[in-house]
Amino acid sequence: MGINFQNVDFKYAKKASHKQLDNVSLNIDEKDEFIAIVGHTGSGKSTLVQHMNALLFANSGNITIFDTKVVRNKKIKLKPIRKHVGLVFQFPEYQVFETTVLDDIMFGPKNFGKTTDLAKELAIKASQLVGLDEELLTRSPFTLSGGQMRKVAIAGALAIDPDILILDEPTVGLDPKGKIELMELLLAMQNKTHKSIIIISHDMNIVAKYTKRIMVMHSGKLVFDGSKEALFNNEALLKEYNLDLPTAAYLAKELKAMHLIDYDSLPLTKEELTHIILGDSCNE
Amino acid sequence: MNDNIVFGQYIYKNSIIHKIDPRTKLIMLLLIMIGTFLIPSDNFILLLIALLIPLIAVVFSKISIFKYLKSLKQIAFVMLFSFAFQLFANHQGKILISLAINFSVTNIIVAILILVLFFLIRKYLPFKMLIFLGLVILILYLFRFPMLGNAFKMTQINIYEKGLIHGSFLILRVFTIILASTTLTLTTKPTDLTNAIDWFLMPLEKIKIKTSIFTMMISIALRFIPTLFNETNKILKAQASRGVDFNEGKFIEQIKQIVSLLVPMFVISIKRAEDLADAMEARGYIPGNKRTKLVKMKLKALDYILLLATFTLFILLILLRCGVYAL
Repeated sequence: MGINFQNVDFKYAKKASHKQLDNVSLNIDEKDEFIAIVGHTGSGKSTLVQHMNALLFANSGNITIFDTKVVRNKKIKLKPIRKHVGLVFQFPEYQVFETTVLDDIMFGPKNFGKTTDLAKELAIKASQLVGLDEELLTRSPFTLSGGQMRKVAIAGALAIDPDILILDEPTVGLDPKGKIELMELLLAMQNKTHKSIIIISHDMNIVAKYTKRIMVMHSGKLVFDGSKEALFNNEALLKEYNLDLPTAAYLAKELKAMHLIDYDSLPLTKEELTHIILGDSCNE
Repeated sequence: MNDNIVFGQYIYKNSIIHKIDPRTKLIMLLLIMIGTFLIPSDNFILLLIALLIPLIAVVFSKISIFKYLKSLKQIAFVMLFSFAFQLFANHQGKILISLAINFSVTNIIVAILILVLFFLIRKYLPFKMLIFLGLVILILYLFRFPMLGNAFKMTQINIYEKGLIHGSFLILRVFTIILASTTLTLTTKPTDLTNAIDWFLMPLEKIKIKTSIFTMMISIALRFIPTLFNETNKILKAQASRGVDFNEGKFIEQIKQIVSLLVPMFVISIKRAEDLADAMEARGYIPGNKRTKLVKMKLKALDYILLLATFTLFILLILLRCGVYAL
């Protein structure tokens, strides 16, 4: 179950000089995973998640999504795959088109064969889950702000009720408060529904705070796949692929070098760092 | 993202043909086009001379010959059709070949079977056009004899000398024109082409027609075709992951699904146009005002030689056509 890649190769054009995906093998569980995919622009992150949604097809290797083999074949229906794995693209303006926000969120479930009433119910539930104001539901989606529009897009994906939710750079373009709100929301949603969540992100602070597992892409190859602690403690790897440390971890390292604090395991978030500095006495 | 579809066929190569001024190339194309139609339709020598000009350009352009053949492929059907039309409809000159055509039930059935078989397996065939042509000739050959049963109708197909000559002349003439214009589009950037057109339209500015606005519009449109194409691709993907399937569902649903593509398309295009207008204004663009050019088009020695040569050939052709002297 879940998503399974075996030795997947992919090129956009037959004659392209380099592969966008190069021998990628991975396994993603359907429950309780919170994965971040990091890597530089053009490293193949977006290509990777589009394979998980059966929008692109591997040139060689096997992709199995919820026991369905993904190949470009007319006999294989792609809709069930897309029902299992929801993908939210980076720019919500590429998908909203209905006259009201509610209609737009209902569009997905209706496409997957739900009746209008059921779709409405699912849409309202999804909009509550992402914290959309009820008064927004009757407005035109084109009057919304960027952050609100993104919430609508996420609600649209959630209304389909996928088992795994993938978000392509969900926090880009949001203000600091909006970023934290969105990530807290995803975390709360996972605690409630135990769905697996995959995000693509450049923001190491968010990656370190919210995700459990990290995948590093580098020129089409999956060069690291493991826990966030393993990644951020591996200095050689971080240096090789030009990845930043989270601010808290960076600060902790500097402080340790000045012999001001000492720790056994590298703190990755602000909270962990505060705890080390102030010791157990701090409860605030 | 999508590298395989690029609007415009321009291919960058460091060749002498690429360096020729776009205005020279445009004038040469125009003269070759008019010239090939002025050549009397049995004078193969003159046509071969006309064909030689684009052929030399093809060789010097350093671009693979397959790129040229690709653009010929698109027009191949029209060429073949007009050839066949000339071949059968022109009844001048001697009879070269005389074919007896016997319509009998078996013949027609066999012919239909062959064609059906071809259309079923044509997906897997290379050189579809050539195979199809071969099949048509085969079927014509089959019709020479009634295979089983009696022919209920007999006719003759005669191929005349003039038909063959005119037909092949026509093909060669179209070939020349297509080759010449393909050379132009393959070796000239679209922006250079609009610049050249802009230059040719300059006299219109004298009578207060702001041609620069139109050429600006053309170059913006050309510039944004690949961008819009990429954007459409993104929208298609975004909607596909929301369960849109453009090949499925009832008619009404399909219309709704097309709307889901069109609305974001328009919203994004209008937004983009507004941003572009702002950016152009911020950089001081005023429609119709005189603008300096980053790349000044300048005719070089080679351009003058080429223009002189083409004009000389063209004038010679006109003199010949007017009967000043006979070849």
